[in-house]
Amino acid sequence: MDILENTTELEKPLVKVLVVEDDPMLRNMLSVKLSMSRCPCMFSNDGLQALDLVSQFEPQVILLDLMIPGKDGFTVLAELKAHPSFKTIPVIIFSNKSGDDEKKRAQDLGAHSFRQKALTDLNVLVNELRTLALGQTD
Amino acid sequence: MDEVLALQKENKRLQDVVDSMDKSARLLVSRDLELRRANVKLQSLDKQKSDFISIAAHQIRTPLTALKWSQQMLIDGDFGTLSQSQQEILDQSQQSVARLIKLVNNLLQVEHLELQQTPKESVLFDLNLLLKSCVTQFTAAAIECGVTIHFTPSSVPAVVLALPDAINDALVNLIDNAVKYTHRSGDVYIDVTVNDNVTITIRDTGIGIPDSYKDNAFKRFSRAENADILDANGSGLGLYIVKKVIESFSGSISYESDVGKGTTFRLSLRYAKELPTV
Repeated sequence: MDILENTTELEKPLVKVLVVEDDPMLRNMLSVKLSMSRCPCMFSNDGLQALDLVSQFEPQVILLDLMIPGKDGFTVLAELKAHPSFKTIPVIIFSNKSGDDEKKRAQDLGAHSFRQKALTDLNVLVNELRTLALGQTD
Repeated sequence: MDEVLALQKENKRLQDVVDSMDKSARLLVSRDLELRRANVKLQSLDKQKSDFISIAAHQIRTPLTALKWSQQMLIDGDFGTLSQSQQEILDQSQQSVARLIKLVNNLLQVEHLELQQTPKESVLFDLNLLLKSCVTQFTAAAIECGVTIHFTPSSVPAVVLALPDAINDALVNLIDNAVKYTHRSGDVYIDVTVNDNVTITIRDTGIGIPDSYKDNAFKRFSRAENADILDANGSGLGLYIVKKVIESFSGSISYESDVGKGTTFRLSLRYAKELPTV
């Protein structure tokens, strides 16, 4: 059964994810979970280098925190959506802020969805990343 | 001569009255200014308190997130298979973290509801669909508690104008209570009816709410004395939040209950008749 499951796991296509997150603990856990789920990922610790990393890494999906140093998540989102090459990359706002104002602003700026980190099941998150990148679920 | 003296005396008395009124008016203006300044200061302090709670809640959520995810990865077997006792301990630990996250979110929501009375960005949506999603969300918890949920949607779309996320929170709170405070083999019935209003009825066959608690049911940090029978960890914020949310959309909520037999909550929102055409 393990072999079968592993085979199925290995057959899944790769999904490249850029994670903009400044908390080292959360970065570490996301790194482990995404790597195990065949989602190669790159991390940006702040908002300043996020766009450069999008150019280098060419992610299929972006997970974007709001409270990050240098440039906040809303500014990064607005810049992504104003960029001719990046505007179609789906962005999931991934924050522990959860006010209606933040959700509305993220939606208006073109975010695909808004997730509160503390309420997020990592397996559900991986599924959403796959659905967004490939149009398929596990 | 006497008349002149009398007039002078009367004139003096009137002048004293005018002076006194003038003094009072100046005092009133001064007090009004003081009150305005105090009010501005209070509003500023209130804003500071709200900002503090919001930032503190955010800062608390981040380490809680790390705890939740690490527990989940261990339970999922991402780091190897666990023994049964390890699994059990982690399950309990995960429940504690979930409770803490819920408490932080509830406290933040209470603060938010008290500051902002008028909800923004309301949209038209079908409550049947929202309830269906809530019921699905509770299926696993209900099975675990040995409780059966029966859901009967209305025959026509139960369209209301509100914020779906806020209404979802309110419904989740009520269904959570219904499941939590019902013994095994009990039932929870959720019905939607549409007339001038959309009315959601959530009836359980649970422990009921004592009459002595009736006046406090929707107050903050208030819990019925029999609530600990089935859940010793409630914060007493759930019904307060539900009432605030429903009333913020001009809706109403009420309940009736028989101890030992069950409780029925009814919440009504104005029926908006039609979904917008796309």
